[in-house]
Amino acid sequence: MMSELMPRISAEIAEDVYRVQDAFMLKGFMKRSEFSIKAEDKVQLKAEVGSRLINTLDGFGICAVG
Amino acid sequence: MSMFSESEQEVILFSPIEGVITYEGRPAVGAKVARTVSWKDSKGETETTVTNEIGRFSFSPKKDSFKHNSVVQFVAHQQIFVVFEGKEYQIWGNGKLEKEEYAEFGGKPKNLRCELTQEPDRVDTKNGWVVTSCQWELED
Repeated sequence: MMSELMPRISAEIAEDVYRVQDAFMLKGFMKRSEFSIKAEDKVQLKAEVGSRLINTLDGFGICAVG
Repeated sequence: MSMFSESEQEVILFSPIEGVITYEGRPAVGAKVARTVSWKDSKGETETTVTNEIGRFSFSPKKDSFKHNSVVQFVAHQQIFVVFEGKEYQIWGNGKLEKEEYAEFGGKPKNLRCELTQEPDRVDTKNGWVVTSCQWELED
């Protein structure tokens, strides 16, 4: 069973999500050692963020078993 | 002062960059280099240049101002594409979360070189990471 993410790692991942905009950057994001197992099971989540004035599609999140 | 109050400050969207582009170890002469940065919208702004007779290129810093507040994360998405001999290569990708100059390199870079046949890979820096075909050292 996969161990739980430590709070510091979770915080790093939460920040890293902001760096991801496309598949090119997703490749770098998925190089984290936490994703080394079953790295092929990856899906990029996207959502509209911001307000009516400023909204864009963004790398939105990552789901991990824990 | 409210936690949501704003103070405008200068941000470096893309630090100055200069380096040499090679293809199979030889200077990529006449390559078209396009640098794009987007942060307020997904379209962004693109500048282009052409490498010289030794494959050298450079871009000046890209700056803007940002009204900082505690609920907004600054991020400037950076990309560099190169077109050489009819083929396009992406040699740089980054989401710059820091406002400071040279943060994306982890310091002021020197001897930056980018090999087009090198598959872009994650490079960890002092401040985060980028995906690139380039290598560099830091000035002391």
